[in-house]
Amino acid sequence: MQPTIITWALVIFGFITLLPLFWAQFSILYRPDSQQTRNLLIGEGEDWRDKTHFRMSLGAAWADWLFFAPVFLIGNIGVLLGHTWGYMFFGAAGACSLYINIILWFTEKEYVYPTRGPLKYFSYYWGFFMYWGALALTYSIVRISGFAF
Amino acid sequence: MEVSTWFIVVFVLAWLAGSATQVLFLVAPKLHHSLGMTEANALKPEFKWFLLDEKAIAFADMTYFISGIAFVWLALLGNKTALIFGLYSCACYVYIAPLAISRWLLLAKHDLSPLPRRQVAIYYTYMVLFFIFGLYGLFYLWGLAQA
Repeated sequence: MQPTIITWALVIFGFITLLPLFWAQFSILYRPDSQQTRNLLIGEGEDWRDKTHFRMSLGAAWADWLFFAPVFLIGNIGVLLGHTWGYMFFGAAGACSLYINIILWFTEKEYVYPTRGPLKYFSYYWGFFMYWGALALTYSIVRISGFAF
Repeated sequence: MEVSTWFIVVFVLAWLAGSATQVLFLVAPKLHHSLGMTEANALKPEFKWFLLDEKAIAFADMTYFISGIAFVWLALLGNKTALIFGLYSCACYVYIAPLAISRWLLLAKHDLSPLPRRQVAIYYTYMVLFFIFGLYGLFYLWGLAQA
């Protein structure tokens, strides 16, 4: 279960993709309704769609910091140490990334996609989270199943 | 790989309670509402965003509707690929619980909750059960992966 070049690539890709998200989610927990938080989460100069949007975004930040971020961090440590449990956590973090971004496809795409365009949207605004989630989940199971690559 | 019958039975119950009811929400929203599974207040205009998010969650839940079927089918065949689908479903159960509970608490704190008062306890119980089963499932599947 020792890490390979693919493991390292996925770990680095995961950090590049998810650290800005965790920073933005920390921002909403630390300064819930500040302009900086709004700029980070919903775009420069934009406002919450309604009162429930703000509370639901705050709830998502709690879920990310209570489950997604710890699972992601523990998973990365575990896979780099070559433990089976690390791959379970890594795969679980991949599942979270996939799941929440399917939700965001339906709720946020109509706001984000027109202003950012396809290149940004299908890369660091949304796409990378889906690619990393699918790759992390699949890779974890392949490694747990005994294939080393 | 041998998955315990009890685990499969509880997994199917969670699958029915979660994703199967979401199928009903997407294909027959009026029936879902008349059965009391849509919060009555959620249909009011001030909860437009809430309802949009509920629909988005229902679409996302279709992934574990499918992964649940795949898990049970492959687990019964003894195929180790079942793990990927079980892992996906259980991780989603654990993730969705703090997501939903913290949102309901925040909405209630600011008098924005669309949940009918008499159903609040049921909603929280439902999510806590998902959380416990999801965690147990992750540990159980981890054990299977190491076997």
